[in-house]
Amino acid sequence: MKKSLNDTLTIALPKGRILKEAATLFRAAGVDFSEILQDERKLIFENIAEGLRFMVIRSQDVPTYVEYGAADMGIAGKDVLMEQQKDLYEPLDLKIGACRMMVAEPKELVQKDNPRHWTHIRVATKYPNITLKYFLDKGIQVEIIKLYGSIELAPLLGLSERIVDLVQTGETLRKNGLVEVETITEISSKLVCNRASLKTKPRRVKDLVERLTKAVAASGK
Amino acid sequence: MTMIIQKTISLPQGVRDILPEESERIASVETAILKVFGRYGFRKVITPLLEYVEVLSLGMGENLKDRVLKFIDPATGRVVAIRPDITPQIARVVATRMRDYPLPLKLCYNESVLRYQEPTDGKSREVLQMGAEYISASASAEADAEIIMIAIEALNEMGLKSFKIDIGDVGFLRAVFGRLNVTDGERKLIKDAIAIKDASGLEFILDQLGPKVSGEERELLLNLTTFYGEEEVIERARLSSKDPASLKALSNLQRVVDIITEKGLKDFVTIDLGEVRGFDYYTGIIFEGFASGLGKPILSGGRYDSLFERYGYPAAATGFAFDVENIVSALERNT
Repeated sequence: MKKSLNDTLTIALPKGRILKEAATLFRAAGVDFSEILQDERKLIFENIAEGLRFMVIRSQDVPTYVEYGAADMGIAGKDVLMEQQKDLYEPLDLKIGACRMMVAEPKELVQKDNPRHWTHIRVATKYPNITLKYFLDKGIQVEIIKLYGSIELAPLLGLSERIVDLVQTGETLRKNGLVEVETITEISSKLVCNRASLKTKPRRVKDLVERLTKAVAASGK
Repeated sequence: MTMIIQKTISLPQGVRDILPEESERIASVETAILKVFGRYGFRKVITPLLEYVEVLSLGMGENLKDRVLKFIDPATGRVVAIRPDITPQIARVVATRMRDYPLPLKLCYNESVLRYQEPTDGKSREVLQMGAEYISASASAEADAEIIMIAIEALNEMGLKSFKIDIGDVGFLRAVFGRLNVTDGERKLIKDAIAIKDASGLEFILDQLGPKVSGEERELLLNLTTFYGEEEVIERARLSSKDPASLKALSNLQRVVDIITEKGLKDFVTIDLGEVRGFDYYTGIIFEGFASGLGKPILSGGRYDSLFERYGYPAAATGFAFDVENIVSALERNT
């Protein structure tokens, strides 16, 4: 198939820990963007032979770029997708960036606490929408304290009794005297796609999804 | 001082003024569309801004019902709404005022509708729509094809380059989902995963359901997430379907594509059999138009054979509406 300029696929990649894992996966699918990893200031990379353009942006911005069509496809964590609820296709779970979203509280509180008796709680989180939905679905009124980082500090300083956050190994929680009490959902990164891009460039989108599907299967996760 | 004055004289979120430069671009789009509507014999009706909510509700899809701006009419104490869609109004007009007009009836409109959006997303609430509805005694592939060709011809008429009309079929999907031996809740999970083409998530759901879903059904459902592309998708779907209702829907869809192909317009068409938009509203083919470089649809429509009956006038119907402002943005990028 001939590749016109119109046919270039722009892919939004998230800055940070996912980028390296994504590069390995894309390389296994026969697409190399590792040049981006070598220079932190380089934000756009073109793979002309493949007709692909990569850009590196903040992970929380990926769904927005893709929804508006500024990028055709992207890689976004399930946490960000659940929080933002954008209108996107999510054709493939890349099985990278695995972690879970959970509720934690100080270990002193755990001994006298039973989550089944909660009726009104105060929770600090970076994910207000997910937190609100999770507790409202259980019939629990929740006061949400939106923070932008260091969520684990909130219970220590009396800002809230509990937190909702991502946890990978649980090490940070332990160090701050917190215990995981409920898991909200398992998280991994997904390949997302703009609706119009899938409709106007179906072959290109399908080709990349198929190659990445094989790469994910071969990664054995 | 000027800042304070500007703050008082502001507009509600989601509505805007259109200045002469843009208004002229809109007018040329309208002229092109009306010309093609006229060529196919569609006559324009003008419907009112307000309707009783209970009357509109007969003809609204679930996704629209939550997005209606409604209030109590001080004169009567009844709940009225600013129309979020013209099609239910057309159904009401035909069922109450035009019963003695012979079928088929071809009507078109050029109106704005109002849809509540999330306050933060900045999307417009007022949408300029131009649409056509083809009402007939019974459904036909010819009517479906005609309505799609009108959309293509109008876009060609205004000089838009590089666009696709993406056709799906909720009749086919309904047959597939209806046959599954699962609960309504489980069916919704399956449908939601297919809606976003989430093959991995769907696989997980099907694993949980175990033997309730047969191997054959499982394969077809998973395939639905990849049944997008060109015409050959219909053949792929046919090969993995056995149920007569699914096959009937697919042969109707094939007929629609054949008619469009005969008219030399095949290159403008893509197929997506996993598209579930408007599942509760439409009954047969569904379609949306996309222009390259614009992330949102420029038109949408489909066949809705159960709507007129709800207004007490049994008739089949197929139709669509252009989003005029999205077309103007697409034209700015692609002419």
